[in-house]
Amino acid sequence: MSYAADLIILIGALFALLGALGVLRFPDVYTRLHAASKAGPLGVGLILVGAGLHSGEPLIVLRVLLGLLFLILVSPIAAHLLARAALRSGVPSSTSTSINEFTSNH
Amino acid sequence: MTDLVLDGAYVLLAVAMLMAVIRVLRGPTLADRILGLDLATTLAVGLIAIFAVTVRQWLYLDIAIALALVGFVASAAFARYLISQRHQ
Amino acid sequence: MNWLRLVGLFVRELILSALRVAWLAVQPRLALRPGIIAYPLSVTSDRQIALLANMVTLTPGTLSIDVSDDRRTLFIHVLDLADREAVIGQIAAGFETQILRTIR
Repeated sequence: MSYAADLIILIGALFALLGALGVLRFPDVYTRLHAASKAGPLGVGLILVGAGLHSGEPLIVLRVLLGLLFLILVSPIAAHLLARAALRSGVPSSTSTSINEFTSNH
Repeated sequence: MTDLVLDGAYVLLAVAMLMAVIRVLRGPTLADRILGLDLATTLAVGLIAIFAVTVRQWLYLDIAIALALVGFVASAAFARYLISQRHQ
Repeated sequence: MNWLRLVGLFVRELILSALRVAWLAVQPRLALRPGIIAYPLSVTSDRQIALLANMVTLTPGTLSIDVSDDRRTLFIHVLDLADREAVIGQIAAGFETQILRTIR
């Protein structure tokens, strides 16, 4: 049980790190949002679940599972809000962006 | 075993946090900084969760979850601010 | 039953997309071809659009940005856009069909 929890924490931390690496390396806001809204929250959610499993108490496990659910349901919404705000306030996408059907429609 | 894993997770999250902070400092746009702050908050949730295991105080898990809730509201508010800024 | 299948699809796509982003982030040279595409919506109600937009964000390499004022078009940012039609076809056949089956 404890080994499984350790493994979940480790996998989660790796996901969080790689998500942060994406945020650091990707070329523009929109691509960075991909990294921040997927790998990051999933990784941290897994850490939360792993930590909860360590307690061995059903109520706490239930709570961290709800926490995971909240994180993965809400992070795309935050990413979408930020992407929309960036697009509407005119933040340019990187020069390698080949197609942009938003600006051609407005 | 668990101690080793926790130490490893601390290091991984600390490096990730550093990357998020670099993104906040570098920008270049306001949206990038908001995104960096959002990621930093999410990572802080993970750090608190690991800390809960280190000290075996499960109340910290509730604090971590609460921080996740607040972090979302903060990002949403920042996004609204970013939109409203355009009209000035 | 349809709800369960929708949740299953959701979880699978989330894990796949996190893996995909993680994989892209560790490439020594970034080979991204980002682009913004206009996706023609066939779902109509607010609830359906919100759910679809949320799921699109969780699909590997796609992030929904905005909905047009007439609610016919969803603007999607694609991380690595090789084939526009393939991306649209995949969303229409996967999530949109499942949502149409589940919610009206």
